[in-house]
Amino acid sequence: MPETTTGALIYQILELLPFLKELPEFLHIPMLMFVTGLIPVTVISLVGLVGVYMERKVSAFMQIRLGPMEYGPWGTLQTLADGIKLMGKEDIIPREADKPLFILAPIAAFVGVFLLFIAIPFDRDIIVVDLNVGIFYLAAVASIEVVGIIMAGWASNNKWSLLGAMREAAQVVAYEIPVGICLVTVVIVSGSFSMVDIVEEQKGLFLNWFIFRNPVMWVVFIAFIIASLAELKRAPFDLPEAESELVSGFHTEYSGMRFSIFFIAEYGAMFVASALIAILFLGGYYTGIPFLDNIDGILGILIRVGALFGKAFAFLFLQMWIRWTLPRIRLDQMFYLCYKVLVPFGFVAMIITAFWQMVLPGDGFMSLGWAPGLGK
Amino acid sequence: MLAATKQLDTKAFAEFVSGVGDSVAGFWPEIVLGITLCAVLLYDLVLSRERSKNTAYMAFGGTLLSLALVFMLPSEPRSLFSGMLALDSFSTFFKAVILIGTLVTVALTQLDKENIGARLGEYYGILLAAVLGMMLMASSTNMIMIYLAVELASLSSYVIVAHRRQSRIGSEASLKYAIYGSVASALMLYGISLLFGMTGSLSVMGLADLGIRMATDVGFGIAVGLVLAGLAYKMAAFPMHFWVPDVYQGAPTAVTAFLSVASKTAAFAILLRFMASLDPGSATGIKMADGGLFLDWTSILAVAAAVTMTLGNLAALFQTNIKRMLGYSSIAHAGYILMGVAALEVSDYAGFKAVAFYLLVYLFTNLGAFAVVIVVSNQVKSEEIEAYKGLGTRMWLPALLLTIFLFSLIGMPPTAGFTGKFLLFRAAIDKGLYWLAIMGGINTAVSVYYYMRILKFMYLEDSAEKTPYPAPCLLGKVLTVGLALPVLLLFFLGAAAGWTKNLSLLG
Amino acid sequence: MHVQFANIVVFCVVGALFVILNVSVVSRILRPTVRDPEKYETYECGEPAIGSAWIRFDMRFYTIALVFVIFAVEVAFMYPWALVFKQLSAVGPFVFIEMVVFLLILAVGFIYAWAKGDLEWVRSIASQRGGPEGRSGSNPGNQTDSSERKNAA
Repeated sequence: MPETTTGALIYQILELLPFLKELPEFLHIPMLMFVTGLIPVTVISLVGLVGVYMERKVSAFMQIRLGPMEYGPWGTLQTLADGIKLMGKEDIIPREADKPLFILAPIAAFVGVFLLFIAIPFDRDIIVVDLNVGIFYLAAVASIEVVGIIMAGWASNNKWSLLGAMREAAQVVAYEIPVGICLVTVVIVSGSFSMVDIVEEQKGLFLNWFIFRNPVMWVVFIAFIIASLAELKRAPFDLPEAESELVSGFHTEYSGMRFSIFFIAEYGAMFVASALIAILFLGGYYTGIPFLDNIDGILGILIRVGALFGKAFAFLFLQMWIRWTLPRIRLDQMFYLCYKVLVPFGFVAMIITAFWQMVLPGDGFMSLGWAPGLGK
Repeated sequence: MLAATKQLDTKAFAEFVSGVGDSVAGFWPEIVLGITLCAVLLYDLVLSRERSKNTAYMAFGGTLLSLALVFMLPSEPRSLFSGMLALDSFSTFFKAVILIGTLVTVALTQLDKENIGARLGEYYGILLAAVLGMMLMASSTNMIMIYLAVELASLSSYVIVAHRRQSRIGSEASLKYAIYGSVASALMLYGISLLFGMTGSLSVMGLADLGIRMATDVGFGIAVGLVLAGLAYKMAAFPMHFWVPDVYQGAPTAVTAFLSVASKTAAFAILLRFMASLDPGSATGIKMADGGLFLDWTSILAVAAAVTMTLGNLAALFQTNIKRMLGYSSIAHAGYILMGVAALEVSDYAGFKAVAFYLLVYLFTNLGAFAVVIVVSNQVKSEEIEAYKGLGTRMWLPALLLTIFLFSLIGMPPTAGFTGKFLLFRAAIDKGLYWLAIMGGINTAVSVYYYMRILKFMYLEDSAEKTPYPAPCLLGKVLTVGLALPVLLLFFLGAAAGWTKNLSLLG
Repeated sequence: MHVQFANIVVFCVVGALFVILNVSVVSRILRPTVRDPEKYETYECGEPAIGSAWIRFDMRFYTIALVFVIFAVEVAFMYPWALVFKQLSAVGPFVFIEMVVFLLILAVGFIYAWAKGDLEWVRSIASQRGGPEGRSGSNPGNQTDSSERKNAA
C-alpha cells in the first residue's frame, strides 16, 4: 500500500464510485476524503437514532412499561419522528447569551465526537485512517467535546448551565487521568498505538484478548468502563446534567436542532466508548473463535463488523442497565472514586502489567501452557 | 499497516543503558539528596505531627551524607547522562559549597524556629528541593538542564520565602520574587531557544565556535544577553537585582541566609561555565551592523560588575533594617564577584580561582553574619540597626563575632574577606581592567561606612538598658563561633588553599 | 503520512458542515419563527433571572484543574515509554526499573496531595487551614498555630 493512501477503505470506495476517477487529478484525494467523511456522518446519525430508541425501550422494559409503541412496528420510527419534530422546533438564542459562542458550541461538541470515528476500526480494512498514533489521538480528541460543552454552558449565561458546565469540566478533567492510565496499560501489552495493530494483537482464540492477558487486566478493564461512564457523563455520573437539580445543565437554553446536535454527539460518544472497550480489551472486530475469524470475503467482513457492533451494543446496553440500577452519585463521591480508587489501582495494575509483560513476554496468562496450538 | 511499529535499535539502547549505569555512579550525592527530600516529606506527613526536630536531623543527615559522597566522587572529569551534566572538579567544588551552606542553613533554621513557625517538615523538604536544583545548576552542561535546574531552585525558593504564612511581608516578598523570577526565567528560556535555533544543539560547550562563526550576528549577542539576564537574577546582579531587599527582609532569616549564599553560588557556577565556553577573551560580543565589535563580553561583564557594586553600596548606606542592609550588601558582593568573572581567562583559570575562593569565603562570612542576626533577634526581638545599640556590652560574644564577619565583608585583614577580595582585584588587574579595580576600591571604601555604622551602634552608643542579655543557646554559640573560625583561618590558608587551585572545567 | 492527518482536517469540515446544514438550512426551512420577548429571557424556572451568570467561581474547581495538569503531564510521559516497553524490556529490566522510579517519585507527590486533603471535594474547616497539623484539632500544641492563622486572616 503506497504511503499517500488514506486507508484501504478509500480504494474500495473508488471501486464503488467510478465517476470519481473522471475528476481532475488534484481533486481525487480531497473528494475521496470527503466521501469517506460522509460514512461516519451516516454511522453517527444511525447510532444516534438506534441508541435513543434503545435507551427508551430498555428503560421502559426495566420499569415494566412498553415504551414507544405508536410509530412503526414496536415504535421503531419514534426517534425518527422525534428528530423531524426537533427540526421543526423554533430556534431560540437567549438575549443575554454570548451569541457567537452559543452557535459554535454544538459544532465543537459534534466535531469532537465525529473525529473519534476516524480511528475506530470496524474491520481490518474498514477504518478511515489507521493513524500510527491512533490511541493517543483518541485520548486527545476525546477531550474536544468537553470544550464544546463548556462553551455551551458559558455562552448560555444561565446559572444552571454554567454550574453544569463547570461540573462537566471538573469531572471530565478528573477522569481523564484514569483513562490515560488504562490506555497506557493497553499500549504496554500491545506495543503499538495503532488501533488496527491493537486488535490484530488479540487475534486468535478469545483467550488472546487483552482482558485475559494477565491477572490484573480485568482491573484495568473495569476501571476503564467506570472512567468512560464518567467521561460520557452517563448515570451514575450524570451530575453535569442532573435533570432534577440543574434542569439539564449545559443545554438548558438549547432548543430545536441545536439541542438535538448535542444529543447526537452524546450518543455518538457513547457508541465510540463502547466500541473502544471492545477494541482495547475484548478483541475488537474478532469474535474470538478462530475459524469464524479466518473467513474471507464479504461474509467475513460482515461477521467481523457484526462482532464489533455486537460488542459495542452490549456495552451500550450495560450503560443503560447501570443507569436504571444506580442512583446518581455526589460530587465528592465522584472525586473520591477517581483520585482515591481508580488512580492508585490503575497505577498498580499498570506496573504489574509491565512486570508481567517483561517476565512473560508471550501471549499471556490464559494461554500460558495449557492451551497449546490455539494461539495465533 | 504495521508502519507504526518500527523495529528499535536494541543494541544502541543497551549501550545507552550501560551509559546511564556509569552516570549514576557520579550522581550519588543528588540521588541521596532526592531520597532524603522524599523521606522528609513523607515522614512529616505520615509519622510526625509536631516533632519537627526529627525532620531537621533527617535533613541534616541527608545533606551530610550527600556532602561526604561529593568528596568521594571520582576525580577524572567526564560527562554524565549523555552530556546533560558534567562531573569535574569545578562542579564538585560548587556542590560542596552549596551543601556546606545547606548544613548551616538547617542549623540556622533550628535556631530561628520560633520565627519560621509550624510545618517544619515541609520547610525542609522544599529547602532540599532547592538545594537539589542548585547542585544540578552547578553541574549542568545542557541548556535545558540548566533551565530545569534553575526552575527547580527558583520555584522552591519562592515557596520557602513565604513559609511564614501569617506574615504579610513574607507573602509580599514571595510574590515579588515569583513575579520577577518568572520574567527572568522567561528571558533566559527565550535566550536558550534562540541559541538552540542557531546551533541546533543544546550543549553549552561549543558556544565559542558559534560565537566566532556568528561574529557579525546581532541575534547571537541578544541571545547570550538574555541568558545572562536570567542568570543575573539568581546572582542578584544588575540589572536584575531589584527583588533582593524586599525578599531578604521578608523571608525568614535562615532562608535569607540560604538564598544569599547558595543561590548566588549556584548562579555563579552556571555563569562561569557559560562564560568559559563562550571564552570572553575571544573576539565575541555584541556587534555593530558593520561587523565591528561594539562591546565584548569582558566589557559587558565589567560594566555590569561596576554598576552592580555601586548600586548595592549606595543603597546600603541608607538602610535601617539589618537584613535589608545585608541584602544590598549582597548585591554589592555580586558586583565584586562579577569582577572576577569579567577577568575570566580560560587558558589559566585565573578568574575562576578568585571567584571560587571568594564564594567560599562569602559563604562563611555571610552565613555567620546572618547567624548573629538570628541570635540577636532571638533576644532583642528586632532586626532594626537601632536595636544594636550597646550590644557590645550586653551581648559581648555575638557582637564580637559580628565585628569579625563585618570586617570580612569589608575585606579587611586579618579576615578571609581580605584574601578573597585581594584575589579578585588581582585577577582584574592582571586582565588589564584597571578602571574596574579602581571602582572596586572606591566601592569598598564606601561600604566601610555602613558596616562600621553597626560597629558604632554596638560599641560606641549606649542603650537605656544596661543589663546583659542571657547568653545565646549552645547551638547559637557553636554556630557563630564555628562560622567565625574559617573566616579567620582562611586568611592564613587562603592563598595556599589548594582546593580552589586545581579547579578545572569539563570540555 | 501527512495525508492521514489531512483527513482529520477534512473530517472537521465535514462534521461542521453537517451541523451547519442541519441547523441553518434544513431546520430553518422547517421551523417557524414567532418572536416574543418572553422567549428570549434566560430560563430560571419561571422566575426573572437575577444578575448575570458570569461570576467568579468556586476555588475548588481550580484545584481540580491543577491536580489534573500535574497527573496528565505524568501520564503523557508514560505513553512513549509504554510504546517501546514491549521491545526494550527484552533487553533488560532497565525500562521497568526506570518507570518504577518515576512512579515512586510520583507516588510521593500523590501521597502528599492525598494527605494534605487536596484530592477531596468536601473539606473540613480544620483541614482547609493547612494540612495534617490542622486536622489534629485536639492537639493542644497546635493552638498557637491556628490562632496565628486567625490573626493573619
